[in-house]
Amino acid sequence: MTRPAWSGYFSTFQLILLALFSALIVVAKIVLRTPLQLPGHTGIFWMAIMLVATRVVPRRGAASVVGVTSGIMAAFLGAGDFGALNTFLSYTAVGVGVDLAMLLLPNMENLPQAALVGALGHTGKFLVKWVIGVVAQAPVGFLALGLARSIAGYIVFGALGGVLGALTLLALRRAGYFAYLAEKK
Amino acid sequence: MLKLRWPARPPSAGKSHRGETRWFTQRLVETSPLRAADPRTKLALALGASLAVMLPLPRLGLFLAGYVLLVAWARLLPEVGRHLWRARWVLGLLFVVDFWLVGPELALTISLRVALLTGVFALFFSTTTPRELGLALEALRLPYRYAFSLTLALASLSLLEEEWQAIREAQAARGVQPGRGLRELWRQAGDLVAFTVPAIVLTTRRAWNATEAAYARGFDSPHRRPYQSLRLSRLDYALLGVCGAGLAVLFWGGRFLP
Repeated sequence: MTRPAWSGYFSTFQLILLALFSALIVVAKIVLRTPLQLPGHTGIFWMAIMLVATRVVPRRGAASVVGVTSGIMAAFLGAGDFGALNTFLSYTAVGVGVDLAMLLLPNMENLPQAALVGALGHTGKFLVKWVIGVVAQAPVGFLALGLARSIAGYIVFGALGGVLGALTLLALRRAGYFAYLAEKK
Repeated sequence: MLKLRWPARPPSAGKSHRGETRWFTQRLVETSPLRAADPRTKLALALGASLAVMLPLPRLGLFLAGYVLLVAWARLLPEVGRHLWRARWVLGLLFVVDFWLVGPELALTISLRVALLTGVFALFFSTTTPRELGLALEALRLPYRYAFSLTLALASLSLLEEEWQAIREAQAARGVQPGRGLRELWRQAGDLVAFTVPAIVLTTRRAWNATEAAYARGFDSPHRRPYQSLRLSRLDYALLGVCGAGLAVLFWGGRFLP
């Protein structure tokens, strides 16, 4: 069986690590629910783990892999209120959004940069809802009205998740995690 | 070619060793005739049905009649109904607002389109096991290593859930819990690191153990051949033929259709 040229872009360990981080996101989204009942509040741990994944596997596309993988897993488990397609696209959009934002803001251990990347990445989920509404030809005014409240939540919790991700990375560095990881590659 | 028999319950189903009900169970409909179909066929059916959102109302109605028949034959009506029930408030609100602002035709069209998108992938996800998904991804030319890691992650969900629960309980015992208000949550951002750091470290260790175990079993061998593989059956050809022809007629049926 011949392999595509891009199949060696990530090592096996990196792929397994990214897949397990994706599983961690899906689990955290359900287990670590905060008592807040605001749109997008689950993004705190989601974005934090996503940002940590991009630093632990420092290759372009790592966040997209996490997004696609967690999207497939969440769709498999029937998560989300608008069916598997919306769930899969939402998770994927967050991953792609983080990768795109990291082209401009690459330092995830810098708190303001991480907060911005978290906010931009989390907004990708909001954009999927918007695009599905537009594809279904729902009136734009209604969409704007319905989604205006949630976009603030997505930005705030995405930024908070970014900050948590940066703090996690700093804590991991202090604990010698990256030295441990260097031995594993 | 091996005849595959899938376990009646996914490995993640049931109770944990502590006796808690696990949340990460896939809702697999074992009695569905679609269980015998190739996962690639089911994926094609779901994707094809998603395209039907582009049809105008009369043709969308025709499509939905056929779709309901397919779902009823596949014994997936309760599954699709469950998805629609979860979206009932948004669907209802969408219908009422569209009816009020534009008119009944647009309200019906949009509600049906969103309802279709909400339930359509139950055809795939309610009748496919994680292992079958891995085989399908491999058959679709995705690198084996990616398909393997995805299957592994799906099988690890319950273990990760137990780890998260243990971390949460340990931190709660130390008085660290996510705040009840937004302001409190901002102040606590530093404390929440106590949740993420152990989870990341435990996950990395698990990933490394899985990689070593896989390599010890000859993973990534240059002459690897799959132990199991998928093959399209008559049922798959029949499903693809009938559904493909139906969609083609609806999209390009010209003036013979409403």
